[in-house]
Amino acid sequence: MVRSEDKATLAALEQGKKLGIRTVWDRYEAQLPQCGFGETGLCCRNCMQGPCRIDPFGQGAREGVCGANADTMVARGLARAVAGGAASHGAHAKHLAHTLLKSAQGKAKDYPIKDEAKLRSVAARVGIDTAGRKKEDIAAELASLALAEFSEKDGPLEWITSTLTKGRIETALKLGVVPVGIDSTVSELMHRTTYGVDADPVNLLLGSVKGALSDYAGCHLATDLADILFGTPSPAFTKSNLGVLREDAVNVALHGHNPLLSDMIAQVSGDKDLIDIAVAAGAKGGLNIVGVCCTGNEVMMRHKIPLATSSVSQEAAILTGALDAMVVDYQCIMPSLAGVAECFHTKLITTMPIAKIQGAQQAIEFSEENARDSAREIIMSAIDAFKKRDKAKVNIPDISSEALVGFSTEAIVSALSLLNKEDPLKPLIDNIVNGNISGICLFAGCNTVKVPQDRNYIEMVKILLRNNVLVLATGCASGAFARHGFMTPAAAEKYAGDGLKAVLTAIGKAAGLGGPLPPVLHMGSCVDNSRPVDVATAVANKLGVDIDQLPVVASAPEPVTEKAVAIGTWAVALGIPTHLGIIPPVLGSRIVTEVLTKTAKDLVGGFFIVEPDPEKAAAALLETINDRRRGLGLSA
Amino acid sequence: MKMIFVDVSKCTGCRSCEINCAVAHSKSKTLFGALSEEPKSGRRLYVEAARDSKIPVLCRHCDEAPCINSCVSGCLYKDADSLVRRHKERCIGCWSCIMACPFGVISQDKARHIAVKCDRCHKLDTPACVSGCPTRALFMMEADDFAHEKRLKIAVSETTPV
Amino acid sequence: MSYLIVGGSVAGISAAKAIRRKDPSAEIKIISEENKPYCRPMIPLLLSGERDGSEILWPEDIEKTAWVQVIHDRATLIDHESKSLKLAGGGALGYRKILIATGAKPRKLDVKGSDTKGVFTFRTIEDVIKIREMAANAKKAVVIGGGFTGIKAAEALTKKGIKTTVIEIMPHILHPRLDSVGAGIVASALAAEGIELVLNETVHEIASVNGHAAGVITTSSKAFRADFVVVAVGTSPNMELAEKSGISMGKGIIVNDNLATNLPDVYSAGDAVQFRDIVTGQDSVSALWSNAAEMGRIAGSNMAGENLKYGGLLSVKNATEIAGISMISAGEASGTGHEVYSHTGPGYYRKLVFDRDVLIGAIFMGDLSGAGIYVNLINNHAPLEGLKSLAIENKIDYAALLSSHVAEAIK
Repeated sequence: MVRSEDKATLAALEQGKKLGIRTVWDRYEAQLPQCGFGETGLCCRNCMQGPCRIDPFGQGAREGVCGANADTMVARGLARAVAGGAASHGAHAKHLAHTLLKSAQGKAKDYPIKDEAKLRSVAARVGIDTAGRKKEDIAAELASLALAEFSEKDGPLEWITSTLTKGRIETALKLGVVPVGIDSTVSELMHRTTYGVDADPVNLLLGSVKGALSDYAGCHLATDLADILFGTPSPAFTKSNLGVLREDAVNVALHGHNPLLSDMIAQVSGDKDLIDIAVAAGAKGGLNIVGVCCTGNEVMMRHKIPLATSSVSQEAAILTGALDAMVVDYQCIMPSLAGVAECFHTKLITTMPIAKIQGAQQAIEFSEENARDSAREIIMSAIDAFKKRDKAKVNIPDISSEALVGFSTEAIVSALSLLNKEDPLKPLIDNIVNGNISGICLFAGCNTVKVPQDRNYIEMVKILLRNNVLVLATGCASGAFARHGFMTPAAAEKYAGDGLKAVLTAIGKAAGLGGPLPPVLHMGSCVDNSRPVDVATAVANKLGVDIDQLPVVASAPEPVTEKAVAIGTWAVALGIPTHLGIIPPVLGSRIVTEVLTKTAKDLVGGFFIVEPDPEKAAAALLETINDRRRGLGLSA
Repeated sequence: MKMIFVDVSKCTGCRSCEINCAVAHSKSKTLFGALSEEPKSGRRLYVEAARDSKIPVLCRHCDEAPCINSCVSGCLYKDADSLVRRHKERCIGCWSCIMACPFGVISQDKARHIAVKCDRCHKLDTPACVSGCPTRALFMMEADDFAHEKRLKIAVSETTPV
Repeated sequence: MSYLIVGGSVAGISAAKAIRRKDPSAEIKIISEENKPYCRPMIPLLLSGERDGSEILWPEDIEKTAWVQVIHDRATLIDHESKSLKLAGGGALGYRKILIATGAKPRKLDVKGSDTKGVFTFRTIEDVIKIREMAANAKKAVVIGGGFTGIKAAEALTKKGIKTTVIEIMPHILHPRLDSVGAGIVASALAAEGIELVLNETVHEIASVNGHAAGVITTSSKAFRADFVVVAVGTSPNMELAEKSGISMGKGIIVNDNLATNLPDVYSAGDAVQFRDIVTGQDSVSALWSNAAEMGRIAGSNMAGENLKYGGLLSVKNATEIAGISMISAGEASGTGHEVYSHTGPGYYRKLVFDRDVLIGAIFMGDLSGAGIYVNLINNHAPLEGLKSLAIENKIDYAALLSSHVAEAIK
């Protein structure tokens, strides 16, 4: 099977093959064929009377031991996945909230508030009085309000009621799915899905929607707080792919999710004394910080740190033999990294007490109180590893792509205001109305081992761009597009339809780019999926419609994690038709499949489109966009 | 000719062989495609629980097949590779083969109203059940080689000092 | 010298193939009165039109596949002194070994009017052709006999739009193949198909009008109108050849455990034979396809030099589907006076009959999974010991039978 469309990944894998190192692709092949019961969602291990499986062909067992039928089993599994996702994004946000509070209280000197304007606007949005108050006071109140979002409150989550259209909130209220606590919803989902609680598949699905909305709140909170602590991203050029590693520098890869760690390391990498130590150790190029996965996106958006690679190819960064340290916090980190690092001089450094890996070369207890010192310790450790680098094993693929990134909501509005200062949304809306922009597609999600890496993204985006769809991207979707050169002005010239090209060129010229904006706008990490929602909400409010009427669609062509399940679910709940390029484990239940792909449309306006073939998927998305345009009275 | 052998000590009862068999005999040959077919495909082998063991029970393609002997319509026959197979169009659903099979590995396809049994995946290099077994409890071997291995095992165990 | 086989149905053909497997160069000849060999159990499908004449023919041309010569003639005498078989068409054939597989013929009903025009039997292709001609212009039929043959005739006729009444002497149909419970289930389904079942009635006379059958009158003076009548009251072995040739007979041709008759080099198999019933211990005649196939195979193998023993037959051992209900039964199905365990559920009926811990009878309806395992246990007629409780709980599968051996082997 072709493992990747990314030649850099393939080159690194060749290197690994020569050394006999097994990667995610080898482990996947060893798993084949994967269990049909799991693939259809028809297995359950929630109690010790199991493990149970239901025969999808109807000849064997039709229910689990407790009597749960196929619909219940599948719906329960889905709910637990959403809970896993919401717990992850929630934890990420909570960590930031704790840090903001400590910062406001003077207990985290290394985390000053960088973006006061954002602090004030977020505070105002959630009803905090900001007039004449010091930023520390506002921050303390905001952080406390944020922390209160996690347990059961008396009312709906602030990060939902203050960020969505009235229509979305009403829809959620009508369905009874408005969450009152992020962690309490996760806990509720765990309760509902344990032995003998919720067995009604539709009720479970509604519970999943509630969990997904908690996930959304966690994501938005995380974006807000990260912008406050580290700055709101604005456009800048950088690079991506393995070619950003440097033979003459100490290479440190930042992997995981939370900018609390990665931003700190990005910051200290500018410390002159550390750079001198690196040079003295033989690294003429000093320190070279690169990113992997979401945390890579965070520092890419804020500090132009180049993105070395994405989730499925995370081992490839080490296989180049040039990585001196890979520093990880939590989520999407393969335990195999320790073993792969062992075959080189590379140090896998874990930093969180809840995220340890057997065999990791080093475990540092990273704390907010001593962030800077811990970060410097990590850099020193990397320099130390550099000294043991085996030159014979260094094989950096000379492949990298330029990328213009940093399109936060604020940056997009800022760019649009170049065309219309008083009413920045007007040029966007006008161009949607006149068809220059047929619609908007948000690409989100992961990189999976189940299809050739990036292929679904590449095939789909070409078709959408050709049809004048404005493409936004986050997470590893952004990684895929960045690595394949879609985030450049040249890509707009090559791939965008005439209407889209015209708009991108107008904005680009106004911004002094000398050419169009890239046709794929990098909006950040996976928690930053809240950013495009803000854009959609703003446009919807301006037009006086709800999000489920906008010609906006989403696609996760290579979804992997429970976080992806949660995000996909809230995208649908927010009225955005969402495509999945991998079949989720739901086909074992006719009811669940029906609700997700059809009934959801009546309930929430959004629905899932499950289509593994990228051409058919793009066609389905275009058709959906056209349906929405027709619904608004626009030409299709 | 290679036969399917079962190492019962390795069977975890996961039933992957059953699912793979059903998928291999569907039209689309994929799990998800097979689930949307009507009528659905079905397994031709059976994993049964017996006291402490889990035992996959398969068609032996008997030399003197009781099912062939009992078939009243000339449906069941032995092919050139000595496999017991069906001329599906000849089956009249009389179920005499089910009555005759001492292993209980023939079943009714109620939707199509014909008897259904293992065809040793004669169109594939490796039968679906064997290739789908995650623990290699099901494996293919020449009967002579299998007997030889068994003899070696016994010879070793009988001559190894206690 | 040739192997001769008198009779070209399943016993004869099975024997021919068994001989050919053992003796690749032998000369084998089948003498048959019927045209091409065909699958008799498919006759009801021919009547209903679900299969045509070519589709019920024996699937292989044994003249080609087994190099068997099929001679269309009737055998009249076995002269065991000169070892020759006399044929009705003149001429004789010498034999090395000879098999009598003459089968059985439908029993005649010994009542007034049973020879009238419009009274048919239901066994051969000829019968079907005659009935079809009749049915083309008929509206109503009476079938005498509620066994498999009669019921299947009734179903086939119903499929052709003929309103059919079945008259059965016993309190329930399909005796002794099903018990009253099983028969009741089938009877309801047949009634739903529009077939009238009349039980506990004996036919007194087949009435006729203008020399043609017009109805049936029972001993209790009930009358049933009909445009034609089908008589399906069982079969009796074709023993004329055996009788003329000096072969010992009882209810059927008497054979030993090797299926050899009292005459040297003369064997017999199939519906013509009587043999010990495994369950009752009595000598019985069985008109069952599977028994005939098995006997033919053993007789043929023995004719070619083997020494196989036939362990006995089950006079009840059948698998079929009636009124959409699939069923398999074997041995002592009624169970009266024995230890009986039965289960009924939605769409299924399972019954096991024990004599101490020997399984002697079983009925499976609706859900036939694993039936063959139980039928084989009945055939083995051996004490089940610990397996008896598993059998009762319907937990016997091949794994259960193996597991005691396997547990030892794994140790």
